[in-house]
Amino acid sequence: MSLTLKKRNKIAKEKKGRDFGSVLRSQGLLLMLILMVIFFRIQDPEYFLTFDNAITILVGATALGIMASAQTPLIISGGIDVSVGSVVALTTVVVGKLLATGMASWLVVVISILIGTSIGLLNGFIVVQLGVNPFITTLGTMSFFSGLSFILSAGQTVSIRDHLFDWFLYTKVFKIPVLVIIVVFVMALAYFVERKTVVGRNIFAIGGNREAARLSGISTKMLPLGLYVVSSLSAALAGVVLVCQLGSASPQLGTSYLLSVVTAVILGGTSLAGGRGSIAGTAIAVGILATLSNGFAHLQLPSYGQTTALGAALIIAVLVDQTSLKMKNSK
Amino acid sequence: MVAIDQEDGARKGPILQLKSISKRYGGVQALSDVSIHVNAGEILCLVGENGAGKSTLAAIAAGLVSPDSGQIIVDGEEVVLNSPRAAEVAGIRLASQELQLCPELDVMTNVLLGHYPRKKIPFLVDYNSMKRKAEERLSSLGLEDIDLSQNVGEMPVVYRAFVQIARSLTPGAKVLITDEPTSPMSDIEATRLLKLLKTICDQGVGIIFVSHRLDEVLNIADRVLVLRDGKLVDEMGKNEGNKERIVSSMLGHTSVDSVRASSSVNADSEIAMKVQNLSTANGISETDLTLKFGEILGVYGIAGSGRDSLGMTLFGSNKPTAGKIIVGGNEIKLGSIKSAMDVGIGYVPAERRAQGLLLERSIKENITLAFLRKLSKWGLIQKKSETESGQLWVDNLSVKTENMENPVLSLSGGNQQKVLLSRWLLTGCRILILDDPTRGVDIGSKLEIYELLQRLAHKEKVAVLVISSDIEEVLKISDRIEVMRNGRITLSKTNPTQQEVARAAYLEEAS
Repeated sequence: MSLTLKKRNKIAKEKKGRDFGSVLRSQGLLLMLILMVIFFRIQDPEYFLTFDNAITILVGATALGIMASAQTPLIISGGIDVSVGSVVALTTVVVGKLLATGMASWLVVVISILIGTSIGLLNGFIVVQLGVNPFITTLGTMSFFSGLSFILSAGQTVSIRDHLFDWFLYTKVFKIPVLVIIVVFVMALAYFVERKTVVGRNIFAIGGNREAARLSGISTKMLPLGLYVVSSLSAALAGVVLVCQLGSASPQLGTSYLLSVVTAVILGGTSLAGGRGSIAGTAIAVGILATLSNGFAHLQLPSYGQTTALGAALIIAVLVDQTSLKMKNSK
Repeated sequence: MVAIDQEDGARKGPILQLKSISKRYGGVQALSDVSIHVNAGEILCLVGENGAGKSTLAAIAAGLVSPDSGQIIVDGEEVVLNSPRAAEVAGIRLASQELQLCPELDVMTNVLLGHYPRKKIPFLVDYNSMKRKAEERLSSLGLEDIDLSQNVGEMPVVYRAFVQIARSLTPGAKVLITDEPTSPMSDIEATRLLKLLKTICDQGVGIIFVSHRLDEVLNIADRVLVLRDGKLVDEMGKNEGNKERIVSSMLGHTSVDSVRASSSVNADSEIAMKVQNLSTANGISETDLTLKFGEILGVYGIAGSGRDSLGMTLFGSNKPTAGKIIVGGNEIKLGSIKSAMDVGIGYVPAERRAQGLLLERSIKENITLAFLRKLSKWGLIQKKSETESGQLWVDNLSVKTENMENPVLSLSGGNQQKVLLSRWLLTGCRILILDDPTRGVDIGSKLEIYELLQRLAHKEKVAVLVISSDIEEVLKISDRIEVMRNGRITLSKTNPTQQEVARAAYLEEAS
């Protein structure tokens, strides 16, 4: 099938406009965010769009931001990890139990990291080495570790108080809390890897055309394995952050996070099919989710309305993607 | 099931006629004013090289593709086949190469797929009736011994083919088209399938049988039609056909007109790769091969000859069951792409879209994909180096694009192939293996690629291995040719004639 030069240039423009399209998508997202902020501001000009408000939002977005930063490259590479919620829950429960025994908090954090890494290795091994579908695999581990966290905690919520955690929570650098710095750093790091490193390029290659990546000498085993480890690790760290922020440990903490993380990633423009997407989009989407949550809370709107709004935004975003994909492909 | 009144001696003529069929795909004239006909109770075989048009013709007859011009006449009446359903209604059935069966369902269900007998109560399937009907259909084909309750996916290939054919012979079948059904089968299994086809045709159905395997063709054909470059070039009746005639009709004249640059390789030249006793699970048997620096070695063979998996095996994508590959005096690790790349082997796969390119990514990124590590420091891609490398090869190979940041999807097939080639040239590999390097590429780019390969081998002394299903291509650019048939090398010669190559590829006796 030969294309005339004209037609090819047109496709090139459309495609550049597809990278422009994802820029457009990001702009659409930014628009959504701005509209939302304006809406809330109108509702309560005293509170919204102040520095404190922004900080509150960012703090609230920390756990979500860390997890979404890890999930994005994983999904781009063609994988997925739905066990993140349970890893969060398990981590908080373990942290609670260990602190109650009087263990030093820095050690507790180290152990959380180990737990996250091991679960990631488990997920990665099953998916990469045994070849089981990632969704099924992580669905299985999700249930397993969720159950485990209920067993360990006997279903109880425990309250936590610790100075390392207090330090994390309350220390500010130039009025910005350490937690916010952490999440911004993680996102920036993820963006950097995605755009500028060989690893980042390989992630897109594996997700875009696994066979082509393989036949170009890219390992289709090590990298995906690493991504699963990073995903679970991010969930473990998010768990620690949550314990800091909430001052409590509960096996029920994780569940809502799974939905938020996946929503943020997809809303941000990353395709579940793999090969496309960006942390940039995810970051804005996380901002949208966090603003929404903050807005609803402050205005004392029922929180379930939030889920509905989110669901609607997600469906619209996916539909827009599908339609623009179809228009592109029908030439 | 397929009973067509045999006493209808006053049959108006052929059961299916394709008149003056033409079809063009983009720049290629796939079929040019081809007229064929099939009579009831006759087996017509279509043969031809890859790209000769036989599959296109079969697709048109089956309603999968619409011809640009021409008529289709079934049983004396003209029909318009704008969908497979229309073809089915007209009495034409297709049993294609790809499986039309559901592997997880049993034989009974598959045989009557989509046509389950219903009970009087709506939505309910009448399983008793279904069992009976399935049994009837199978026994009318002589296939009573097939277990109705077995899952189709668990059956051996030949039985699956049987079920597939049984499935396609729904009532009212007048013509059965089957495209290379015996490709995945051994000779013994193929014989059984041929017997089934004979049974079907004895019941009055006309059969169009497309095949590469000339022994089978001569075995069962009532008539043989040869296509070449989209035209009908020969027709043979039952006892007129022989392999020599078929092969020479399929190939026509050689058009090796361009000047071939000469290779300076001789017996003392350095050996790049030595393959000993290579065997694979999917088609190669105890094959030896020697590739030298500074030459283009061409390997030719038809589908299933082992030629198709040779490239992947040598590159380490496929692990052989036996044999050695020796590069630079050392045996390399088999089945490891990394090991192959480490000793300087590069591989351009046959399917550039499915196996080679990241279609949505830029031209530049596609070019540098296999060389990123060298273009980066501490894992960080050096933008300047990458841009320079990309631009260098875009220029060297004259890739027609205004901007190498454009997605590779925007390029024509020929330019896409050049991008894929650039990927490996950038790595500086000393042994380059190419599978069907100019498939689906326009003439202009084809010639550019040939020139490039010749320069690569003769001036840069790279060892080039071109594995191809295109006989003209192989003859045009190779310094030396090896021909594979049934997993083995049947010819190894420096300047064979086209006839010699074709004989070695298609016929039993080696030249």
